[in-house]
Amino acid sequence: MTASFPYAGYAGQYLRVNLSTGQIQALPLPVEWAEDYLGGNGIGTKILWDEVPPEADPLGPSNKLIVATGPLCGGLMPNASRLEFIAKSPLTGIYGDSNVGGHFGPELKLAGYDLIVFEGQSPKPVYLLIRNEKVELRDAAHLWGQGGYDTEKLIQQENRDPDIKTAVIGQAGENRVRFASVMVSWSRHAARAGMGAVMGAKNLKAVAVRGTRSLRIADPEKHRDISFRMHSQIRKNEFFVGVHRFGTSGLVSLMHPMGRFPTKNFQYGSFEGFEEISGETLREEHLVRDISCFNCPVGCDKVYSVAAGEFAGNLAGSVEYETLDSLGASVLNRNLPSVLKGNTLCDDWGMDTISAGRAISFAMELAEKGLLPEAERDGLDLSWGNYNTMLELLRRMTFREGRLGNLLAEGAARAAKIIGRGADRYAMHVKGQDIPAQDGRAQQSMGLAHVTSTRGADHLKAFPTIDETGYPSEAVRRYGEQYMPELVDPLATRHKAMLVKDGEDYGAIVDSCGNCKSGGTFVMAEVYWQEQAEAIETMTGMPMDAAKLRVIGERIYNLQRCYNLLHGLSPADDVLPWRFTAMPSPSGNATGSVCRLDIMLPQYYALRGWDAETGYPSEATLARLGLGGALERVQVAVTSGAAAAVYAGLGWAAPYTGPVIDEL
Amino acid sequence: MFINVIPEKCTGCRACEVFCPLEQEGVINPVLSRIQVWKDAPHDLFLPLVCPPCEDKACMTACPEPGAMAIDSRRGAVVIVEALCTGCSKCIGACDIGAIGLVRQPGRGKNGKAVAVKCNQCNGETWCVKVCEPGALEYVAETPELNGQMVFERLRAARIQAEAVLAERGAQPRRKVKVQ
Repeated sequence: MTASFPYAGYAGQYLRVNLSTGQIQALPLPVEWAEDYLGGNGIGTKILWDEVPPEADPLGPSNKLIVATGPLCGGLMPNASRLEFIAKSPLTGIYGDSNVGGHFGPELKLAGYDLIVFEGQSPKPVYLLIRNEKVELRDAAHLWGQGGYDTEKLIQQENRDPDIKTAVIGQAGENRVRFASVMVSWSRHAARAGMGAVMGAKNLKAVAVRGTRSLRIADPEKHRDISFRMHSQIRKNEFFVGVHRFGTSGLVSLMHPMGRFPTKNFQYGSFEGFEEISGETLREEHLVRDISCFNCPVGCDKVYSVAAGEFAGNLAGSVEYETLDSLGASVLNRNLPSVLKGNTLCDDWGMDTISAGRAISFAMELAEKGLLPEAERDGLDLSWGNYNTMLELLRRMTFREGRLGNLLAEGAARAAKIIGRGADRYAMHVKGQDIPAQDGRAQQSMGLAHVTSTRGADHLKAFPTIDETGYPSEAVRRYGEQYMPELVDPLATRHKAMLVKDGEDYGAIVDSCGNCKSGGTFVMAEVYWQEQAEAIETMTGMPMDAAKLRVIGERIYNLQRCYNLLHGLSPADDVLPWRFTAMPSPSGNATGSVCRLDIMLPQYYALRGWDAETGYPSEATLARLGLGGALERVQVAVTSGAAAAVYAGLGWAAPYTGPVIDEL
Repeated sequence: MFINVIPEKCTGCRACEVFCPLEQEGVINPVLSRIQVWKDAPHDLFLPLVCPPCEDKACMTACPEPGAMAIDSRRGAVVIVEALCTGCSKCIGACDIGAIGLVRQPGRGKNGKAVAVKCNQCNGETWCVKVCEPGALEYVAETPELNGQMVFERLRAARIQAEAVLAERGAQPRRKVKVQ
């Protein structure tokens, strides 16, 4: 859009908004950001590394929030909708990001900006309104205290334009709940890692954008060819119908028999009430409509409602597999309408359903194990399966009401440290972030992925899908015959380090470009290095091939690792809670299995070119990736004691990794 | 031939709004799309609006410029002859479903200032239909059971309801666009 920028597909400029002073600058996008880091996740990582020191308080003015699109966002490729939020995470205190679909990302690009960098802290509640070249901070006093749903509507109303796209926080973000989310166009949420709390701490209630400028494509014919080919292949993919009909919720029925469906705070991997909260039941009893993110043929997004009973009238956006676990199986709740209700509350108030649910199951287990005396329960019945307690705790966390609500709003890992007396044994997290509904005992690669994720426990960084339920045809297509059959065996450890590393590097590319991990790049794996490179080159005109793209992916991931090392993280943090490594799974196909991190992690370090003892990327690795100075910065931080000081202030307790506590 | 719209099947992905302007205008810009999707997910509103075309063709009657609107004899599409269009917007006001937009852009139209734009069925390529996975759009021949007029009437009724829903969000979507 900006004539001076050498590549199509980019807007060519970005916004820097200083919330302390109110200054707004539209700046040319540095060409080397695009060439070395592509966009989204990559550029956000680069800005964080350059501009946010490890000493910065995630909830203070020196943290920055980067809201970024990538070169494919807004374009022709399937689901070119994705937007990245990057900041230091209030939940983990280290590198944080959250990715979201919807329609906001494309709108931002079409308004003429590839990304926004928010700096400082506003003295009063504001929202940023972008209408092409008109960019202004507006008063948000009247929006403060409103939920996400009403905030979106009020912004559209007062600007008389229903096509305005919004990214807003609810009350949880305002109250700095450490796992607060950002709602992006009604049913989509950038939920993990507490990006909503970063906005709340900055007094930034919302970002609203309307863009009507035109975006140029470098080679329209060729780009349309590859894009339409990918649309068509995804539509023909064997998993298309399932993903379209159920979204992620279809996983409940698949994961239960595998022992991969965390139940009762990870005590079990199967839930006997699974059919009552399955994707099939959800669709049959509650579906209103299939909806879609921008330019997505899959349509895994949904509208659900409850027709009768105590939650009658409740309308919910997508109820994902993760939420069916965190507000369902994980708290032993088989009442599906209550899960829908909880989903709606988390969406409107703006909280990550995963971490919110895990905080509740953590509290329920503490009560069960006698670690949370009656006097500290604020009058709540914390017995398993009590969905009224679950819903009430969501409210108390959002509004930080009462001692327990306020404590759990810090997240399970921090709460465990505050409580002490062995509570850390039941906080199921890695690096402060709660483990999603992906049991690493039932899928070895997933256990490794939680540990090597740069934002703490996470399935979506490496997103190993091909060995989840076994995807042999896709595995052979991507990696060849030489890794079979172990590669698709969820319980085998062989080749999983390779799978995780490849997924992380490729995932960093996808999250930097603006297409979707669930829409053709990992789930329904039609788009891989080669196709992605072709799409980038035809869209932007930047010469690109798979080999070059792999280097960029590695560069992004290694820089995130280095950023975390500045915070004093070490291999001692590359661990899983005892339940994964010491307690054999009691459930389903995984019965008897533990996650063999001891085998996979050294292999992973070796593949990455990381030192086995320090966990540092080697000098040769970083030199190869053009990150020559990074190691020196890490070494200075560690030897000066600065990194240790930051580490001491992170706030969470590392999970208990000792032997099995006999309690089943 | 006409474009059949089945709003119940629309998921609001707007792939049509992405591929249409590339074919028609050579760029990505959904506001330049000749098909526009009105949506409000929580109110179950998903309404793709495009010229089927209808029987009456009030737009052509309203057009004061001889030859500026014509019927494509091969497919029956109502097309705008850009070189003769003054951008007066009379056709836009005459269309009950809002299937015509206005693009203000230097060099466009008879006066070099603005031009009305609408679906011309892409010479039969209809990219909107090709990329509509849920099947909310079909490009079909007229039959006694279904023709463009019936689609038009369906869309007109749906649009009245949609306006009421969108009023709660401030206004109805705009179809007049300035292109720099």
